[in-house]
Amino acid sequence: MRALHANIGWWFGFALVTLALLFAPMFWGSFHLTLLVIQGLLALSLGLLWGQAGILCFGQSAFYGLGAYAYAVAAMNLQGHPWGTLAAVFIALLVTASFAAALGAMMFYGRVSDVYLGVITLVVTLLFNKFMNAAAGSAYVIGQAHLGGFNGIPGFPPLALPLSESFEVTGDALYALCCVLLLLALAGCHWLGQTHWGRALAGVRENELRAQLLGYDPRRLKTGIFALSGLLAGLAGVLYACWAEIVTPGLFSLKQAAEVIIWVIAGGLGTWIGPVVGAFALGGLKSALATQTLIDNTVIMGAVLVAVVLLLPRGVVPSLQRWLQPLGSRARWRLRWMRGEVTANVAKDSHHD
Amino acid sequence: MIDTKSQTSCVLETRGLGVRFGGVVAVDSVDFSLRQHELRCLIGPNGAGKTSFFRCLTGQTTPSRGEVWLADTNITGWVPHQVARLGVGIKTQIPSLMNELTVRENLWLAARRTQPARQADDAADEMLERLHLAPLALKLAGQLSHGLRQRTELGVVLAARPWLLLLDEPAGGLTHDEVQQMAELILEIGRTTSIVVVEHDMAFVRQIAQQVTVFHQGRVLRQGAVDDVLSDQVVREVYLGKRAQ
Amino acid sequence: MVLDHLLVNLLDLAYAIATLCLLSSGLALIFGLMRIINLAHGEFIVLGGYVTLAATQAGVPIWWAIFVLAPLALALFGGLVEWAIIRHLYGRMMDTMLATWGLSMLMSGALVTVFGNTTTGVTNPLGALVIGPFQVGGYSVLVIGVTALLMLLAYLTLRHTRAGMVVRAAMQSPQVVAALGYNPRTVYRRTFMAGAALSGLAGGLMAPLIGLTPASGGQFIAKSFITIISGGASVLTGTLSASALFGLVSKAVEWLTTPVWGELALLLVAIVLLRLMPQGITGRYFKGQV
Repeated sequence: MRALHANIGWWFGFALVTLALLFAPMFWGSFHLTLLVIQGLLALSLGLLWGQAGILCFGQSAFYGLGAYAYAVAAMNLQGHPWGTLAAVFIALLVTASFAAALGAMMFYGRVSDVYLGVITLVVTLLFNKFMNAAAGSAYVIGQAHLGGFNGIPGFPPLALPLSESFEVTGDALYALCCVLLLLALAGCHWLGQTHWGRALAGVRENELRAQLLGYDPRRLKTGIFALSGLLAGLAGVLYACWAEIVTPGLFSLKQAAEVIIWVIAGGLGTWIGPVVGAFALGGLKSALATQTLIDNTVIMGAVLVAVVLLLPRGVVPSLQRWLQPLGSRARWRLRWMRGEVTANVAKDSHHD
Repeated sequence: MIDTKSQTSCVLETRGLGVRFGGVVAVDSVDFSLRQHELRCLIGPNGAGKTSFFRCLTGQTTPSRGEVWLADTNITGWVPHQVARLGVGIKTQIPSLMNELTVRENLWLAARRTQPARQADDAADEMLERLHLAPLALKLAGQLSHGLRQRTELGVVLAARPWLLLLDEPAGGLTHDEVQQMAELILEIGRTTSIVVVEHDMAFVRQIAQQVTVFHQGRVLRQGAVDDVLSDQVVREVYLGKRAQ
Repeated sequence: MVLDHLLVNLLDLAYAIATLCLLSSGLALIFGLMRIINLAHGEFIVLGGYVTLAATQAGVPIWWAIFVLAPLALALFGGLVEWAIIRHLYGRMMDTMLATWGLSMLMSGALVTVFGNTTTGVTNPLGALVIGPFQVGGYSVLVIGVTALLMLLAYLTLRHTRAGMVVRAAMQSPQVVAALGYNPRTVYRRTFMAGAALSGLAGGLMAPLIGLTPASGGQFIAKSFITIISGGASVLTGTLSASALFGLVSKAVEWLTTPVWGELALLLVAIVLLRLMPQGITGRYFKGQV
């Protein structure tokens, strides 16, 4: 019953997001919406890692930036080839996933935990940031691509499909592609949470020792989810590169790293929709604030983070669910009572939860 | 999985096992062996080294010297998940469950590692019935009382169908009735499974054990049939003296 | 001539180590004694710098601004932060990190609003020292001296005073402090204020050497964060040993290549160090020191 109940909630949320993505272009420009969808995907990548496996990575923007840079460099080098940009996407995904896997293996097999994991991921992000900022001049060239230091890499070809006339995926088409990918990723995460692997990860999150004593290897499970989450973040990075048509070291900044965490924690952990909604709402708020100069938007983001941690530690979406929960659990109980499954004793119990 | 039939004599053995923490010797050269389908209790006063010894068997502590053999596999220095994968069920001193998962999910995760999905579903439901946990199937493990947590953890351990059970204080913190139920359960399981139990509660030990091993100051003090050992003068002095008066 | 060169380089190295130490000290105190990581630490330092700037512009003598006003203002501010945010989150390390990260963004945004997004500086009050054919900033030598003095003072306080004893007891367990008849909450608040005051002093002291911008907090927090985490549980020994290691590595690489690579080397060494010693340097080699 619990699974069914949770499933109804999930399909409802999924439908809501789909509808929102369908109708949003009627009210706002698709150019700006595309960025929000990409950020939603980035938030989901952290939500997957943090929510399912309980691993808080402070450097999700490292994978985001790496995906974007890898795409830019690969696309520059494969310029002119009809399959060039598609190949670049796969190269970028491969690079980010392998990097995440290597970093994850280093940390989890080295028994680095909690806070130290946060530190290492943050330091990796800073390393990228400093390196990319400094990588200006003729010494920092990969094939045809100049890393460009502070100015980043402009002018690489955007995603193109090798159809009759090579078809560039920009504007509305890019928006549609991002939406489809986001919805696929959402459904994928939901499916993953119900597989043996997903549940084993939840087991490790809840009690690492118990999972170990049952024969699950936490190091392997965690490295796996870390790589997968890095892959998703890398995908978001690739899409960002296609959207912005320039990549800069700012992608690796501390501010970017903080924002991802804020989206996820504000939207809510433990749900798939929460991080995405958080990214949409706060990303939208940020751009709405960008037009005024009275308050710096960093202040707002900071205030949101402080307020959520202090007042709604579970995030907005789970808190909403919590308020709606009594309705659901009463309905569930009534159903079981009607089927005669519930004795007086147990009925009392199930009223408590 | 280890073929236990070929090794009728000995399913678990330690040779010269020692553990030291800094300058403190917790376990000092212990030779121990367990026959197939034997139920052995490890007893001894606080700080006797029982739990340190136990943690070497489960892989939670790496011994400083000596070896641990599981049937004919040397598992010295293995980590817990490797030990568990050989078919060993381990229950910790403080009940260890996945708190934000339901009781059924806890059991399912245990069963699923050794069995395909559909059989794991059945195994979880069967275990719910067997341990009278069915009404609590959808409760979060973190919300259970201590006694129910003990019982659930035993269910989790059994759901993986182990051939060797290592139980650390299964009767700890239970009420009188719960201790009775636990003893009956362990005796029933013991007919088909080899079991090592670390326990404080002497009434419980008398109820379940035929063979006991007494630890004292990191060494094996006495070993043998429960009545002989418990009436032994030396054992009474170091351990039971306080209680026997 | 060679000797002069060596002396200058040694001073340079000592300065690198001293700044790491100085910038991390406030964070180290709070982390070591309260197990709290204050990610707004960088902004605390910047705020200390701005207090010094504002005070000197208002005509306060610079030494007063650095050694009295900046620490005092930050101690008060730290008390406010503890009251408003930190005390609600004791025992929730991750949440504290997140909340103080939010605070850090809030503060840097607020600093931009008040002071504008420009670089400002405090005039360096000391001239240069001449060593043979070389010149060394007199102020850098002062920073080295003050840091050394500060470390010594901290050691004596923690080791030999009643307050130090209570704080070390609080480190072990709040119950012990309560049993000794002190309110753990008060002890924690004062410790947090002392840590903030140290950050203020660091900010004030560094202000004449660096250009202040509201965004400089990020570079401070990164370095000090790495230093204290790599140092491990012991406040003084950890901070000192990690500062020495990182200062040495970054300076060595800097001499061989460029300052940027020096910084990159520092970060890389930190990652390798944490991989090899997840408990930090003192978790491994200097257990039980202050």
